[in-house]
Amino acid sequence: MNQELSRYLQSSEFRNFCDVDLYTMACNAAKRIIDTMQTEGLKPAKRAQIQSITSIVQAFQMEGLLELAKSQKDKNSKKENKQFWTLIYQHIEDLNDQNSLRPFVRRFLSERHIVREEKQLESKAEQSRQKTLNNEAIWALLNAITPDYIEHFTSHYYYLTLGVQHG
Amino acid sequence: MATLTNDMYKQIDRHLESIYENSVALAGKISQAGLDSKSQMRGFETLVNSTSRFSEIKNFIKNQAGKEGRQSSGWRQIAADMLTHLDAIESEAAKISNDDPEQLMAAKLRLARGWSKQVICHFLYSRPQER
Repeated sequence: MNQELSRYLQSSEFRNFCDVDLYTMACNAAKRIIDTMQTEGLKPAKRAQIQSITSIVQAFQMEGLLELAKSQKDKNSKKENKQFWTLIYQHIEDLNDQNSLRPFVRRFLSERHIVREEKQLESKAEQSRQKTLNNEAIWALLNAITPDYIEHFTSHYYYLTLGVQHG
Repeated sequence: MATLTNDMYKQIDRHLESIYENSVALAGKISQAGLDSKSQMRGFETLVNSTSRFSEIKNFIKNQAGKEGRQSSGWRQIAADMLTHLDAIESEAAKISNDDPEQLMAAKLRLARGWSKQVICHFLYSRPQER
């Protein structure tokens, strides 16, 4: 792993990032997904769907969740579930959405000069090598934030769908 | 975890003194919400005292409130209040630690532990009087 990234992951700065910034991001994501489904006249996904997120990331980290979301959005026949997994997939992977996790992580690492723009390099070989290094760093950070991120996300999802006192 | 300075400890103690009445009021709301099982609050206290992450405390409350079934209805009534108290604690910790990343988490957790002690002590104290 990139030494700079390795140092960062051990730092207090990273612990605070997971506790504050990541918390806010995950809560906003949970709310955005619930709001989007409501706008489309759909009920929030049931508890079993959320629980499967926790189970899969414990075993297979973010890559596992991405695979699960992809297969669920493609094969799920229930409209609510299909849309829920589509939104989860987009939330992780959508490169055009600045709120999505992958673009966020790339931006975050670029600001720290851990990820570098491949196209600025001259030779194809250098570009290819940098692309591999960038991907390694992006997935290392994604996997490092996954346990906390999913805990924040699922807790807030449960809270918004069942826990908020109405009336 | 980073050690707080003596001045920070004093500021934390002063803040805890200043929020004592609010903590007592919150304990009253918890009793009224019908969280009648002592183990519910003891479970919360254990979590607050053992965690190394402040957000885990907020997530615990949200998870309790977001559970299905009758048992969670008490948590639903008090969750928003408890989260508001914790948000205020987080802001105060940022001031006390001057946003120093080494000391911010330690300040948040010390404040949260002091606060939960105030709330739970008064909750346990007030329960027999209400019976």
